[in-house]
Amino acid sequence: MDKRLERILPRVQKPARYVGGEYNAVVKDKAQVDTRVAFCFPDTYEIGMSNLGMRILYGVMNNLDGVWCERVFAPWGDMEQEMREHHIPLWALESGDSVGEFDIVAFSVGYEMAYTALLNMLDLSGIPLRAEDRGTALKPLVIAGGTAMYNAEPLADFIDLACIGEGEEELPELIALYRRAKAEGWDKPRFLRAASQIEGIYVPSLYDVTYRDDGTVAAITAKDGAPEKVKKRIIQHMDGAYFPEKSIVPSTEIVHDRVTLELFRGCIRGCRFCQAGYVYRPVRCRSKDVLVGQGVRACEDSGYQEMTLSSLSTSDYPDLVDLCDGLEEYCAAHHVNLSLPSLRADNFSMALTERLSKGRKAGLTFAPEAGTQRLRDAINKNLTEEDLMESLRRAFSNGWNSVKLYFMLGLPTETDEDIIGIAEMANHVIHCWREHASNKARGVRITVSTSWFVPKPFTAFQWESQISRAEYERRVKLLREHMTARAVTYNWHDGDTSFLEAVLARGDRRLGRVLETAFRKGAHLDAWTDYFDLNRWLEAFDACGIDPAFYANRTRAKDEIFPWSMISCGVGDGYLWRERERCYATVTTPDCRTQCSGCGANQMVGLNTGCCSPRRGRRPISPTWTCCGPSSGCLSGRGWSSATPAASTPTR
Amino acid sequence: MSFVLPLSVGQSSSCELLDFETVEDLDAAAFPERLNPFLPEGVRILDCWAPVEPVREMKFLQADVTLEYDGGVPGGAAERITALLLGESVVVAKRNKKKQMVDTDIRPMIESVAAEKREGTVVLHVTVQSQNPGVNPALLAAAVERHLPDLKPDFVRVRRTALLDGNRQQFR
Repeated sequence: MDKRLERILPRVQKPARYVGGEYNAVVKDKAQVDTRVAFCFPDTYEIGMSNLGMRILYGVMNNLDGVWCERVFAPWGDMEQEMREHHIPLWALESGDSVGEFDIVAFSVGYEMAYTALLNMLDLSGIPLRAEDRGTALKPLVIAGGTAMYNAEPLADFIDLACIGEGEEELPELIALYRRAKAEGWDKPRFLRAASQIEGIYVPSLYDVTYRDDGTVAAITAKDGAPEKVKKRIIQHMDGAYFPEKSIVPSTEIVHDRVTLELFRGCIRGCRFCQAGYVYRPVRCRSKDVLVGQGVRACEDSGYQEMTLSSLSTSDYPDLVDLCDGLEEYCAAHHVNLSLPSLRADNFSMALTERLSKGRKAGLTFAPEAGTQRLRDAINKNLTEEDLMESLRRAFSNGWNSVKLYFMLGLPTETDEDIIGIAEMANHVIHCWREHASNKARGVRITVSTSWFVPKPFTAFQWESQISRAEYERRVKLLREHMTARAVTYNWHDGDTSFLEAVLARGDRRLGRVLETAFRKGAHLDAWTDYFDLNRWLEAFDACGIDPAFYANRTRAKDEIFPWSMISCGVGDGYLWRERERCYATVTTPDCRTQCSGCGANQMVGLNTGCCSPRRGRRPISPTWTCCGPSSGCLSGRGWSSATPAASTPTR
Repeated sequence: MSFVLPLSVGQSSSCELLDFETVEDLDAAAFPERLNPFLPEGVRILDCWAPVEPVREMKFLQADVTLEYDGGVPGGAAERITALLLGESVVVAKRNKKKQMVDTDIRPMIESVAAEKREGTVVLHVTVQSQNPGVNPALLAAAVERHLPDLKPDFVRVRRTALLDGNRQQFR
């Protein structure tokens, strides 16, 4: 460690963020490695170390002989100030070496508000922000992956390439190519051209983007052999996918400090606002026996006494009860608490929650998202108020007395009636408690939280406008006026962050100048209210002559070319547009397990795996969509198909 | 499981005590070897034993408080610091039970101070009360800063070296 840091650490908050040395941190002999990767998370240690993707890819890369992957996190403001004052460059935790010395600087970017933190970390590393300013030398290679990289365009000027999709196989292939390039003396342009041939690798500099007079994208042209469409990379078989059974145990408190078992990827529900639900399709499950083994080994190695079962919708894991059965014996014997977040508000989930609560009744959290059945149907949430109330009846009868309800404001087709419906739902919850609570003396706490809807790429709402700031504030005020019950606490999300998120999420590469300008004005930890200042950004937009409303508050035409149109997440735009139309018609789409709706994602896996596979002998078909070719005989309209799996390739 | 007298952030120690109970019998002598491979870098278990004395019998702690002077130790520093800390009173701002910073005379809690001058540093070998009330050895450096501002060090390191009972023997 830099000697100067010894004197700085006692002066900063949470100094343990910066020292490394944790149990299971990987330390290799530098003389035995030829490629060093600085794995950077553009947020603080306690946020980054809670990220399962970070743990997975850290293990994947360190399992490669000759490669050493080390962790780097964004410093908090006080440490950053000390670093700049004392000219201490950003360092990796395992070795203490400066990030600027590394071959590959890899960022995990899950959220648009992390963009300026990414720039700040490059700057603190002494690495030129813009790719064009880093010359043609191979090193350093600046790459980024994560959910936000499905639209990497705002970062196009700063990164050399983006990894689209799941990195467990993609990253080792990219690193292997890098090692070859390094050994053979390639320059960066040659490397990038070769990298663009790896499935899932997007190289922004190999795409020219032109714009119309109205500011929309006119054309995206691939060059130098880069693919017209970069198809995301997925792991085909989850059972064989790497899981970090020997995970780093932080020496200080982090946000999620426990064993996290990843049950499956993807989501069958098709909620129209949810980017993760679409981009992580198709659904691929781990088998319960594999999960039990992983969970036990991870607890044995780490000593963690808390384990959580994680996915986008845990209730939908096919063998959830058996999995809990398999884990409960070990958990009970070793005092390990098993938790299941992301459960739906239905009877099955409540039964499971009760079983696992073991008398401890912490709060329950549900996400109805909308206040009326009409709007829930429009966004395809597929949750009835009766489902929710039945779950709450059961919960209150069994002693629970704290409920959190999450909603969004500004969803497409939303009316004042829908907003008032949120308050009415809260009142119904109170009424339910009064009728069914087993111990009314404890009182009830109901928290209603609303956020400002942000349209995201690769969703059915990617064409939508975010409602204006004034309209959002009007809706918040309307809801506040109707939220009169004393037992209800109402929290609403900060509008500044949501507005900027809406700009960046669907931004194009012209926003790169704005990003850099905002950074130079001091933007660096924008995901934190301590540091975020929208005015700084508005000044940056103004200085660059760009209207942020063009990105946030504009309805797109059906045939508009999106800045991210060179990327494919597996779900087709045709399907997403149909879902948008069904939203406006208030027509729901059943979940994938009930009926295939032909999103196209199953083309990424073999037909006998994933959500489109036969399940318990039934093969659902949709008579409405062209989910099967006409030659298959599927379009019988009779509900259940006798077609063979091989004939059921959906068309988009 | 609990740490007896938790260490302040930024300080080191060669005598930390972790009090714990197990659900099954343990070979205490073998415990360090079993656990050490799983500890973070820089943390090692030196010994393990069944407690002999109750925690309330832990009366004193010994520590080395190293005052670093980048420009060299000022003349007479060791003597002046010793005189200050063994004088009639030593008033520093100290957090009370209500978590308020109040001026407190910590002299009654200082058992002994021996200053050793080394290259660029003055090392104070101190024995102070550990609890009821206790004093953080770092406050001795704060006292130097307050009452001898010309001897304010550029950096202070604190390393605990022993925990003692009322007979000045190693607390067990």
